[in-house]
Amino acid sequence: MKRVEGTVLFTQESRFMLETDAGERHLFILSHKASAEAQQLPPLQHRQARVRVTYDNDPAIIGYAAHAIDVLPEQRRGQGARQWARQ
Amino acid sequence: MGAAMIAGLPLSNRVRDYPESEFRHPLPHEAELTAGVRIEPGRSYGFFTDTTVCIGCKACEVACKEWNNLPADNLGLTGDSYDNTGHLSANTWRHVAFIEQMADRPTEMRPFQSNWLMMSDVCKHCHNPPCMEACPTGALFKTEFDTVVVQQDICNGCGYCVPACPFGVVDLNPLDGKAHKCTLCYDRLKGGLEPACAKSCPTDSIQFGEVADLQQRAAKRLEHLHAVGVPSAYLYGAPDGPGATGGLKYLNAFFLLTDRPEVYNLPEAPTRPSDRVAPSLLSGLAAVAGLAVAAVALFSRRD
Repeated sequence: MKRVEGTVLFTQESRFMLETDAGERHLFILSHKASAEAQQLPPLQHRQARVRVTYDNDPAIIGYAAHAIDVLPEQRRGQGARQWARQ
Repeated sequence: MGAAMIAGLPLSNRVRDYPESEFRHPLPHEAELTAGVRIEPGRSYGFFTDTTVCIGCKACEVACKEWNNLPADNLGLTGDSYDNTGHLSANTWRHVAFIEQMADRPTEMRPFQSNWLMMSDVCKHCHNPPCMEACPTGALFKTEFDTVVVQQDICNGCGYCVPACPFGVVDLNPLDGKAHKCTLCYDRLKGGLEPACAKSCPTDSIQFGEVADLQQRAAKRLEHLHAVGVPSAYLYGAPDGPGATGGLKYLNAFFLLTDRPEVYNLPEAPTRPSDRVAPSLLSGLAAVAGLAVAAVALFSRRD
């Protein structure tokens, strides 16, 4: 299982788009094995929450299957981008 | 100077209020500007797809995937002309069919005379939706816009809706285990926006509006096509016509076709499975009764 951190940009049903601090965007579908439901995703979008997604590739689609979503502590806006710029 | 037109209808006077080409904020009742219709709850909305002007650009497919955040699926080559999506699925809610019609002997076809039929297929948002009748949890429901939507938090993934749909539209996604299909952009309708596919269509092959208005518009278009020498044109899904058989009454998303429905991968005479329950039950009971009579006859002869 791989992991990625980022901000939930928008959600539709059980699908959500995550933007990493480096500006990459990934499309995830919430797996039926995940301990979260589709209706829990919109609040993450409204808060622009930072999350850590545990995911797997799915060979049938251009996207990933999200198996777990951990909400991370709130970060000041732009902090991630500054860290990335310093590197 | 004549009035500007959109899909054969005069543009709303509100167009003059927005001379700029870029907007920083959503426009109220935007569909009035883009489709000439104000979206209000309690009215019936749908699509009229005129396949005679479809150019197969797939803008509708892309717009649908973009707005609904749907992943590309059916990866690889289908080997079926320019059709790379193949069919409607849980991740493909618009599908542009490319039907290449060859003569009996392709080598004898006149140059530059290849014959293509293109059609953007979608959920038909039936007036009497069989998927909704089959759903045991009530996840499928009719919205305030008379469209059919799956509520994801209620769907339990039983899949009864999949075989119930006579058009093969509804599909289960094995990743999340739930049924998915076109929502006729329910979220956009609530915001006064035209559905993404119709808005992106460059030839207005996909027209969005109130179903009654669309049916009138389609009848006029059909009359025009017959007048200019396309006698094969007909409406699929108009009230009590082809495609609206078996108690479906009419389809909110209906089509103008120029060949048999099967050519477009549409059923010739779709039916509601619920209409087959009584005949199935009766035939089952008749079979049981017949077997019982045979058994009685067999055993009484032995005695």
